[in-house]
Amino acid sequence: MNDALIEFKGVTKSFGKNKVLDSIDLKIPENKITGIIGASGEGKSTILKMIVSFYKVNRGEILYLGRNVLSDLKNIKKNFGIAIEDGSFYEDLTVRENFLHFGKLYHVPRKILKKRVEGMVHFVGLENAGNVLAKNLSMGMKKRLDLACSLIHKPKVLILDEPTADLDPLLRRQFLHLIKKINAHGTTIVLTTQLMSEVEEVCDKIAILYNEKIVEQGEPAKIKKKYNAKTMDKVFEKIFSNKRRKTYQESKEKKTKFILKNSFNKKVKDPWEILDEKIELNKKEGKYVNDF
Amino acid sequence: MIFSSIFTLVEKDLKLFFRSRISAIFILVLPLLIVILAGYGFSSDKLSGVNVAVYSDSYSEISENLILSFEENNFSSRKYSSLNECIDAVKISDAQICVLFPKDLTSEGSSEKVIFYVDYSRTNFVDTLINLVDNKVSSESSNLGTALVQTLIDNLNSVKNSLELEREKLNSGSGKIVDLKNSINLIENPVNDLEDIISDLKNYEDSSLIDSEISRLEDLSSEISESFGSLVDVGSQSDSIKEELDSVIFNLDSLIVSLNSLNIGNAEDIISPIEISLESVNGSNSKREYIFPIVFSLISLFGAILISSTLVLKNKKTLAYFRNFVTPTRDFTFIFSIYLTCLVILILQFIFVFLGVYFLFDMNFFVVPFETSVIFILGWSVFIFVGTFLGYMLRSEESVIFSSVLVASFLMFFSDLILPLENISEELFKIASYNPLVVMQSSLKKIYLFGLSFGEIWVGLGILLGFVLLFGTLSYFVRKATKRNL
Repeated sequence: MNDALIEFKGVTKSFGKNKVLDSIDLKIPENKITGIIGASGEGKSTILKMIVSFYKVNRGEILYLGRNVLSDLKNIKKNFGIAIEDGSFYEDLTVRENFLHFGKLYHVPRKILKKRVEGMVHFVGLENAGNVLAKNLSMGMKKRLDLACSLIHKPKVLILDEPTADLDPLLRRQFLHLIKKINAHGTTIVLTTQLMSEVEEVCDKIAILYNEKIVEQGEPAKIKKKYNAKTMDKVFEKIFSNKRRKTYQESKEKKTKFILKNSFNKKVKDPWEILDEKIELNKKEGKYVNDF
Repeated sequence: MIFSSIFTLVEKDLKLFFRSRISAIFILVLPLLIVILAGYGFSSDKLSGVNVAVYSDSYSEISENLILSFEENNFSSRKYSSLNECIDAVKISDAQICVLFPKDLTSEGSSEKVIFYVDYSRTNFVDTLINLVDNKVSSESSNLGTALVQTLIDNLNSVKNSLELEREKLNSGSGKIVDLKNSINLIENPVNDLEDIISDLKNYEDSSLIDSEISRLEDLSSEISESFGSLVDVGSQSDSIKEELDSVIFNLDSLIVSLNSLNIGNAEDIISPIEISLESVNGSNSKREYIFPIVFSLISLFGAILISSTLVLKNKKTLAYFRNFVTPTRDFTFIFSIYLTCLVILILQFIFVFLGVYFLFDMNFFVVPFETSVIFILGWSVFIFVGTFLGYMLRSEESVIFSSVLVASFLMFFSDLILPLENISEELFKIASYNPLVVMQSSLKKIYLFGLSFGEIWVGLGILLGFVLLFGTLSYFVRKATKRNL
C-alpha cells in the first residue's frame, strides 16, 4: 500500500542547459497540506507544474496513486486543480463567466454547474462581484477568483503556487483560512510559499528546496525539533548556513585545486567569504541580518 | 463531451471577440467597405485619370491628330519642351506615359518610330496603358493607310472600267472584220455567174457581135477575178488580224476577271483584312463582376489568416492559457474551436459583404448557393489553418502578424492579382496553379461567372481539401510540440 498520494521519484528537470531540479524524491500525503519552501528561483513552481504535466520531467517519474501522471493524463487532470501565482483566468470575462467556462471544460454537468457557480461565488466571497469583469477586480479578489476557478470541478488535489503573494496581512489571513477550509473538505493541498509563518500555520508537511534538491522534508514540528529551533525561520537559518558553509568549503577546495593545478598565484576572494565577513561585522555592530 | 468543449471554447472566443465592440465592428464592416469601394471604383470599363506626356521636335498634322485622339479617349495630354522633361514627367508621376513623335511624321510615314516611355514598375498598369495608347496610334496610322489604299483602289477601278470599254471596242472591230470577210465571199457568186454567162454566149453560132461582147465580158471577168483575188488576200489577212484581236480580248477578259476577283471596294479590307471583335464569354463586360471574385478571395485570404493567427496567439498569451491547458481538453478540441470561431467570424463578415453587394450593386453571388458555399468554406478553411499553424509556430505578436501578412502577400504575389500567372516561368506557373488563392478565385469565377458545375471544378475543390487536411494536421502537431513552450 502506497502511503503517498503523489510521489516524485528521482525527478530531474532542466530548461536547456539550466538544471532546475536534480533527482528529487518527494512524497505528498493524501488529505494533508504540503508546503514546498525555497528561495525565489529554486524551482518550486516547476515542481507544481510538473505535477499537472505542464512541464515534462527529464528523468525520473511522478506518480499519482502509484500511476505515472503522463500515462493517464486526462483522468489525472480531472482530479487536479491548480492556481498559479499570476492567476489563470480570462480578464475580459466576468467572475461567473469564468466559473462557467472552466466548469464546462471540466465537464461539470450543466445543472450542477449553475448551482456550483453560485456556491463558489459565495464560498470565495465574491457575491458582489459575480458580474464584474475579472480585469476590474482587486488583487485579493483576483486571487479568490483564481482559487475558485481551480475548485470548480471539485478536485481531489489542489495545487497553489504562492497563494498569498502580494496580499496584505488581513487578506493573507483570510486566504489561509480558506485553504484550511478547503482541506477540511478532504482536498489534498500542495502549496509553495516563501513565508515561514504560513508554513507553520497551515502545513502538515513541508519540503525544503535548496540548490536543485529537496534538502529536508517532514512535519514542521519534527523538523524544528531536529534542528533544535523554535521557529521555521531558525530552521532555515541553520539549514542554509550549513549548506552555504558546505558549499563554500567545497568551492574553496575546488578553487585550491584549481590554483595548484594552474599555478595561479593571485588569489581571488570568494563572494561567500566576503558575505560571511560582512555578517560577522554587522552582528558585532548589533544590526539585524537576514543571512539567508 | 468533445462537442460540448468545442462549443464552450467557441462561445468564449466569440464572447471575447464581441466584447471589444469597436474592433468587432471594424473587423466585420471593413471588408464591406472594401467591397463597396471596389464596386464603385470598377464600375467603369474605361481608364480614367491617364496623363499622356508628349514631345516632338516638330509637331506635324498627324501627331497633332494623335494628341487629339488621346483626349477623345478621356486621356489628358500635355506637350513638353524636351524629351528629358517628358520622361521626367513619368518619373515623378505627373504622367503615366511619355510619347515621342518623330518630327517628320506625315501621311507617307516616317523614317523614325513613335516611341513610348513607360514606368515598368507599375507592372499591372503598364501593359494596359501601352495597349490603349498603341491602339490609338495604330488606329490613326491605320486611317492614314486606309486613305492611301483607297486611292489605289479607286485608280484600279477606273483602269478596270477603261479596260472594259476598250474590250467592247475591240469586240466591235472583230465583228466588223468578220462582216468584211463575209461580204468578200458574197462577191464570189456574181463572178461565177458572169463566167457562166460568158460560157453560154460562146455556144451561140455567128455571133461576131456576141464575140466582141464576150471579149469585153471576159476582160471584165478577168478584172473582177483579179480584184476578187486581191479581196480574198485581204480576207485571208483579216483572219490573222481577228485572231490577234481575239487574243487581246482574251487577255483583257482575264485581266478584268482577276480585277473583279479582288472584290475590293473598301480600303479597310486591305488595312485590316481580319477583323477582330472581343466578346465576353459570359456576355457581360462589367469589370465589377470580374473584380468581385478576386476581392472576395483576397478578403478571405487576409481575413482568415490574420484572424486565426491572432486568435491562436491571443489564446496562447492569455492568463487563462495555463488553466485551459490543465483542463481535460484535447489539442484537437482547441484547434477545432479556433477553426469554428474563425469560420463564424468570416461568415458574419461575408453576410455583410453579400448583403452590401446585393443591395448596392444588385448582384446576387448565391445564384448557386451550395456550390458557392462549398468553395468559400473550403477556401476559408485552408487560410484559417495556415493562420493557426503560424499562430502555434511562432511566439511573439510581431512575428505572428508579420509572418501572416508575409504568407498572405506571398500567396497574393503568386496569383493573377499583380501579374498574369502566364508571365512567370513555366515551373513556377505549375506550382502557382496549386496556390489556394488561385484555386479559390478561379473556382469562384467558374461557378459565379461561367455557371460551371461541381463536375468541372472538382480538381480545384480537391486541391483545397488537400490543403485543409495538410495545414489542419500541421497545426495539430505544431500545437502538440509547442504547447508547453510559451
